[in-house]
Parts: sequence; structure tokens; C-alpha cells
Amino acid sequence: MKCLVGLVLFLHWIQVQAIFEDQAGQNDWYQQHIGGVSFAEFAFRSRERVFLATEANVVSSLDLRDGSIAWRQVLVESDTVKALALLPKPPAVATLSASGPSEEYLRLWQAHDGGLLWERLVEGLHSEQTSATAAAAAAVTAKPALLVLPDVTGDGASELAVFAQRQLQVLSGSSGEVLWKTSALQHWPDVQLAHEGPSADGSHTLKAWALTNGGRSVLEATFAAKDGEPVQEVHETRLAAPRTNLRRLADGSLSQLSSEDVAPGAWAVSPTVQHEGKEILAYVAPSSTAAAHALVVADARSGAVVNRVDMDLPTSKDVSGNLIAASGIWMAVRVKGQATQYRILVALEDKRFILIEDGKIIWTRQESLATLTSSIFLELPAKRSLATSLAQSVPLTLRERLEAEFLGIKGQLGFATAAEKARLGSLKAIKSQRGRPDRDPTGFRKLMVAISEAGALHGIHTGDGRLLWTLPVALGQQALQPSVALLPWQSSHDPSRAPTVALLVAGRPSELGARLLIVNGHSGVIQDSLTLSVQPQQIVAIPGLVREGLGEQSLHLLVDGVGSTPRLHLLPDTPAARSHLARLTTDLHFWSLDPQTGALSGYAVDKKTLAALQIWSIQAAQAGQAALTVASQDPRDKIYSPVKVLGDKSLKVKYLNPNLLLVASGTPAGVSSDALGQEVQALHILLLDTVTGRPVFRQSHKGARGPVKAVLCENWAIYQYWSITNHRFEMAVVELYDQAHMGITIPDLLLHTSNATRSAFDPIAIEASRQSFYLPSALKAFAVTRSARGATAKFLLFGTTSDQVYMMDKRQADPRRPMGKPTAQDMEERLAPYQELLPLIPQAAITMDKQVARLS
Amino acid sequence: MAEFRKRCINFEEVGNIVDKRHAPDPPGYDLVAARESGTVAASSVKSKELLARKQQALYSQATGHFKSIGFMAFMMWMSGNSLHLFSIMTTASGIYQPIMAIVNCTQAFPASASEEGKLDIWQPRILYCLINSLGLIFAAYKVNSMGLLPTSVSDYASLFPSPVLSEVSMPSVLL
Repeated sequence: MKCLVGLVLFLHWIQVQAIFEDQAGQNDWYQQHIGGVSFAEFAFRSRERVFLATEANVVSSLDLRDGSIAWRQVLVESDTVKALALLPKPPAVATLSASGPSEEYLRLWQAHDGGLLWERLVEGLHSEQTSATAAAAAAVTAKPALLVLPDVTGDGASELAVFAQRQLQVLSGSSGEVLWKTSALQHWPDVQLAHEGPSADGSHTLKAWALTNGGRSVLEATFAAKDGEPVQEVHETRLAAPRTNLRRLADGSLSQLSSEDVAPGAWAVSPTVQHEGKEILAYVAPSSTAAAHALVVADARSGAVVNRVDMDLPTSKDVSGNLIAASGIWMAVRVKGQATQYRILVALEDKRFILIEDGKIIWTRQESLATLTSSIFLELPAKRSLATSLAQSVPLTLRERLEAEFLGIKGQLGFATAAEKARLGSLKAIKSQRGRPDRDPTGFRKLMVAISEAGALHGIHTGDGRLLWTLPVALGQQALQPSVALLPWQSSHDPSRAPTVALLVAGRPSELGARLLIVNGHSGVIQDSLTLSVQPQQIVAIPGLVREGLGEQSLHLLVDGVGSTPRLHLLPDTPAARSHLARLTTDLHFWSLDPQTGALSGYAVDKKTLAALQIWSIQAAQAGQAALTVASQDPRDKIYSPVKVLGDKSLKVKYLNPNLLLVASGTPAGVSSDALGQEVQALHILLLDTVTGRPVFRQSHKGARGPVKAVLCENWAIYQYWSITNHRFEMAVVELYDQAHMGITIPDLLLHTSNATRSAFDPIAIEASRQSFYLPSALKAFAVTRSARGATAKFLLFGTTSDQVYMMDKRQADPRRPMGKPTAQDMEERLAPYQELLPLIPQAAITMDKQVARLS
Repeated sequence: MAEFRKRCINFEEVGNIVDKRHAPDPPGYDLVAARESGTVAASSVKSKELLARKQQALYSQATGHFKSIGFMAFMMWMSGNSLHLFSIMTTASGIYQPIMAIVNCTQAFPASASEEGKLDIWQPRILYCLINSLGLIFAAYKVNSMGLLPTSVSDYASLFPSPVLSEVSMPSVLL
């Protein structure tokens, strides 16, 4: 009987839906990406790892078994990784990266956890060089080279040989100290380095060589690795035929075979690998069809094929019909018993990379997601039965549910292994409703359609972050860098119709007009593709939606040509869209900012003829200054109340103008403050009405400059800037109130005496409340929360330089915070006493302990 | 013997007080006639007094409510102006009870109590209602001091119309 009661209780218990206290506020999902691979090195000794440097300037280590990120280090965006090498002692990864022509950094990262061991700025030639020599040397496009040498100093660490800043130097791997350097090779182009030795006397030499004279001859020089003494003077060898690429083999000889000879027609050729005394390399030999490519391992000396596997690489064609090719290949060889295993990492042009072992795909990483540029949120299908095109999550069976409960108990008692915890995590993820393919009643589950820099369009489920579909769009056109804009297109009240997005691919000189792709948001299938007759430079969203049956169509204006009379084209140009535009009750205007000249222009649009006329133009910045940032209001922002209730229960009427624009101008970025002096520098904030171009509010901050991050919302603007005087980041807030409606009474409100319609051409007086604070962090991103009706309290979102997002109540940045002791009215209004510092409290970090790299 | 004792008057008792109980009536004395004429006069006086007393009782019933109203006002004052359970309960009863008392004043002073029109029940009723109205006024003051009455301009903020602009200006996004 007791057993039966226990069983009944147990069965009831598993129905309980609750979370533990420590589960509250956890991230729904968190994904890390590294970007397209540019360098890779395999390591087998300690762990099964591959070390990568990527186009997104991330240095990372991946687990070869499942492709998960063991660690990643995100460098500064402009710090391009130029070379990567693996040190055996101490186990470390060396990177050479350049963030400017004279700023090249050599860094050593610990192999097992990615900790930075040391960093050194590679010093260039000093000013004792004559200017003529320097100019001549600068003309040479010196490509840096990095090579690992064995321990020549006897300190137990390998050494590093670097050719950078037109100097060859050898550094100690343990400390980064320069052992020796020479500028003998300063005029050499594209130096490559090789190690030779140990010789009979145990000495190691460093060989440098470069193709010169248009590929007709090779320059070679040899130095003693220990002290840099020239072992062999510079000598030039003429080649039989001009070459663009030569391979150096392990015995020091130069292979006369170029990549084309070894791997005819190959997409990508790997660096050479030594195996059983042979030099081998791998390449992808494409076939004429999209699938069934060959992965070939060949001898680097003779080109003889060692191994060949025909396999289906997951390549496909992009929407233009171009085949997505492989962009890079790296290989490692491992002998397991009698068999030789070739592990090949293939990077594809769409930023995917694949690990292949013996012709089988072990794992694939979609790294196009590392560089998402813009996104649109769409509604998921209304019902699960309609979500046939989306990847379904299968409900748990009874056995799986019991397994989840068992593993849960085991985990709570602390007996679960890592594998069991992972299994429990996956079962819990299926059990939770987050990954359901249909929408939820609160509308939090959405489908995010995002476009990446690589030109791929992705559909991402916001519940669990899984990739639903990928559409390669602008690949094969990378050299042309087409500009791609993602636009909302159609939504519908009919639950069986999927919403669509439009992708405008412009700036392709090979075609006459821009291309428009209409993509089904739920399936990622192209529904329509049309070539427009125009090549737009700018695009303007038209407020409102055109209702056609059950569908709602978004409208856009394509702006072709700039100047006083730009040409406008309606998108889509249908009779319904034209009649919607003609019936708009408000006058339509648009404004544009020329980033080169800093000129702001406002245009009026004739709704019937679609003619645009420039009605105002101003220079956003004064002479010697630059427009640092602009901020406008989000058209989707809803105003909950047009008035503010004060502590004495009187009303203050907000100055609400959705056409406001904030322009911050000041000392241009890159100009030193010391050169200009504090007194002359000032940051100017201008709030202007974009219909008339009329300034509404001006504020100058003396002794301040950019970078400026600003938000404009409702009747207030908040911006952050650098105070040269205080050496701190300051944040200023401005709140605008309508002076025409001061002292409004109950009869006024009951009798509706205030005019509800207002024109920008009929300006009203405003009152501004201002205050400034210190913020203890620089900002990379700045935003405000938004809700459907605008009824929720506004929170400021700070993206800090440490790649974290903090949330702060807007009331903290209230300009009416009292300076002294708060009065009863202030307390009624819940105004906290003024404090100069706005603290970023750790509990308010909504990213918690996670970092979102490249926050922008 | 017994008959003889009936007519026996003991004059020798102290104070010459006649024991009327045991003294027989004189011959010819009609006890019934004497009783009838005397009862009518005495009962008329008594009933007037009773009515006055009843009227008085009605007034005291009306004014007696003043104490409970005062107590309730004291409780409301004690509970403070902040919104919490105790203040809400006392204020709610401070409003409810006077209203219910006024509504039910015909039960407190029923028409049957007027003794067929001999008593004035209207004045006590009015007095009763006035006293309860005082309680209601205090409760209204209390509600006002708690900030629950729409007397300030901020209570009509929702009537302020959101301004509608006759022009809309959109940003032009560079491609």
C-alpha cells in the first residue's frame, strides 16, 4: 500500500511545472561564434584541439570531437590576425596581428585556456633610417611571417621568429624578449621563413626567402637561430620559369611545383604536413556538379595522389546560381594502429566550416552567424499544425520523461556525470515549451530573420536559438560588396499565410537595377525575385500598412540620386499602394545625412506625383568639427501619456515630436585633444525638427568631445560623451516640456480646450530640464526598452566596452532629481536625491556573467 | 365573635393610625363608584408622561448614534492616510455604516413607533440622518486625505489628448 501511495505521489510530482530559485533569470540561450576561418593549426598531443584565427579577428580553440568552443579570445575589431603558429613548449598559440601600418602585435596565448601569456608591440625601424630608404621600404608590401623555432636559448621554451615591420627578429617564447633582430631583409617582399637543423654541431639556423623580380628569382639568406649571425649571405637564384607561389619542403629545398601543378583546378590547397618522411598536402578537387567533390591528399614534391575520397561536401548554389566553393583547407595526419587517418578542415565561402575524417563529416559549424548585421522579428505560425516548414521538436516519450526525472534526481544528489548532465539539459530543453514552433499567447516567441555580412539570410527561433533555415543570397559577389537591405514585406491575419521579408540587393554594377527577393519568413524559400528598374542609394519606410484582403503590405520609397530633387520610386508600385499614399492624412517628409560632408537635408514628398523637393539643408557640424552621431526616435515607439504628473498633482505637458533629430557634433575622432587644447573644444548637441529643419534645442558642453552615444525617446534625450576637463565619461539628460500648456486646469481638460492637431510649421515654446551625471563605463551601444503600448516604465540599456549589457531605470537619469533633501512633493514623485554618479550595479547586468562579443 | 371583631376599632394604637386594611368601610359606602371616577383622571396624566418619555427615548436613540460615529471617526483618524488593510477596512466601514444607517432609518424609527401619530418620529429620523451624515462627511474627508477623490487636475490627465502632428518625417537609410 505504501508503495502504491509512493508511486501515485511520484507520478503527481513529475507533473509539477516550477523552477528553482537559481534557475530564475537564466539565459534562454547563449551562442558563441568565431567567424570565418583564416588560419588553423591542429594539436594532438595533449587534447584533441584545433586552434583557429578568424576573419572576425577571433583567436580560439575548438574541440575536434564535437566542434564546441573550448576558448575564444576576441581581439579589437581593427586588429587583423596576420599569422598564427603553435608553440610546443610551453603549449601556446602565437598570433601576429596588425591594427595599423605601424601597430603590429605579437601575442602568446596559453593553449589549454586561452589566457594571454605575453603581448609585445613589434617595433619597426627607427628614425635613423634615411627617409628615402624608409619610403622605398614602405613601398614594399611586406607581408608578415611567423615561425616557431626550437629552444635555442635553453630556457625550456620554444622561440619565435617574426618578420614584421620590415625587420626579422627572434623572440623568446617564455617572455617575449627580443633575442636578436636584423633589418637586412627590409626591402624584401613577402618574406617566408623556414627552420633548418639541428646540424651535426647541434645548431639551428633560420632561413628566410622571398620571390622577387616578378617571380623570376628567389632571394635567400640564412641566420644562426641563436644570435642572428649570418650563416649564409644573401644570394639570388634565378628560376627556370616565373612563379607566383613556391613551397619550401622540410629538407630546406624549394619545391618548384606550384599549387597549380600539384593540385590542378583545386579550390583550396592546405599547408604541407610531414608524414612518414613525406611532405603531403590536401586539396578539394571540385566536380562540375554541386555535390560529389573529391578530397585529395597528394605528395607536395611530386603531386602524386596519396589518398582520394569522393564525398558530398554540403556545398550548394546561391540565389545567383554561383557555386559556393571552399575557401580554405587544413589537414592533420594521425596514425591509429595500422590505419592512417586524415583529418581535414574545410572552410566554405559561406563561412561554414566542416571537419572531415576518412570521408565522413564529423561536425559542421555555421559561422555566418558571427557577423549578423540587421534583423527583423516575425510571428511564428499560429498553430503547431501550420508549422510544417519549421523544424519540429518531438515531444518526449514516457521513457524519456522518466529518464529525465531519474537524471534530475541524480543531478540533485550530485552523482550525475558530465554526459548525464548534458543529456538532462537536452531532455529539459525538449520538455520546456521554449522551442515550440508556434507562437505563444504572450508573443515572446518569435522568428528572427537576420542577414549576415557574408550575405546569408538566416531564420532563427528566439525560444531556443536554433537555426531554422539558411538562404545564401549574395555569395559569389563578395568582391563587389553589394549592399543588402532587409525590409519587412507582408504580414497577414490569415494564420495559414506566412509573413514575408524582402531583401534588396543593390549596388551591383553588372546589372542595371537592384534585385528584390521576397522570402517566405517561415521556410526561407524565395517566393518571388524581381529586378527593379532603379539602382537606389537610400530607402525610406512609409508609415502605415496597405491592407489587401487578409494581407498587410509594408511600403517603402526608394531614393535614387541625391541633391535637391532626388527621384523617388514606390516599392511595391501597385495601385493600392499609390492610393494608400495619396490618402495619407499627414504630409510626408524625409531627411538624410551625408556621412562624408556632414550635410543634413530635409525633403518634402508630393504624395500624388512622388516628386521630392529639398526644403532645407544644414551643415550638422561647424568648421573644424564633425558630426559625431545622430539619433532619431523609433517610429514604432508608442506614447502612453502625453503629460507628466508632478508631486503636487499638477500636470506638465510633454513636448512630443516624433520628427525630432538629435545631432551631436564636436572634435573629429582621431584628432588629439592635446593638440587642440581644452578650451577650444566643445561638444554641441542640436535637437531639430526634421520637417522644417528648425532647431528646437541647443546645448554646448565645453571641454567635452566624442565618442557620443545618444538615444532620443518620447520627450527626452540622453547622451554620453567624454569630458576632457573631468577625465570621465559623462551622461547628460534633456527633457522637453510644452510651455504653452503650463497651468492647465480641470475645466480645460473637461472642455477639451487644447488643440489636438499640431503642425511643425507652427512652433510652440518649450521648457527644457537638464542634468548631467557620471557613468563609470564607456558605451559601445545605447538603447531604450520599448513595449507594445508604451505603458511600461522605460529602462536604459547600456552596452559597455566589456561586452556586457546593463539595465538602468530611466528615473535614475531624471533631470528633476532634487539637489538637497527631497521635499514631500519630491518624495510623492519618487525623485531620489541627486547623485553625480550613476552606478552600474552588477545585479543589473542582464547578460549576467556572459559576454556578447562585438556588441554594437 | 368574628362578626364582632369586624366592627372593633382599636383607638388605642400609637399615633392614632388607623389600620385601614382591617377597618371596615362605613355603611353605605359604594366602593365601585368611588373607584371608577378616580381611575379615569389618574390614567390620563400617566399616559402623557409616557408619551413624553417615549419621544425622549426616540431622540436619545437618534443622538445615541453620535457616540458610535465619533468612535468610528476616531478609528479612521487613527488608521492614518496611507493605504493599508486597516485604514481601508475602517474607511470602508466608515462609509458603509452611515449610508446603511441612513437607508435603514425607517427601520430604526418605524412608523409604528409613532403611537398612532401621537409621537413625532420625523425629527428624530432627521437628527439621526444628520448625525450619520456627519460620519459620512468625515469618511469623505478621510477618503480625500487618502488621495482617493478625483479632485486634482492629475486625475483628469487621461482626458488630455495626444497631439497629432500634421507632418511625418522619416529617416532615409543609406544602402
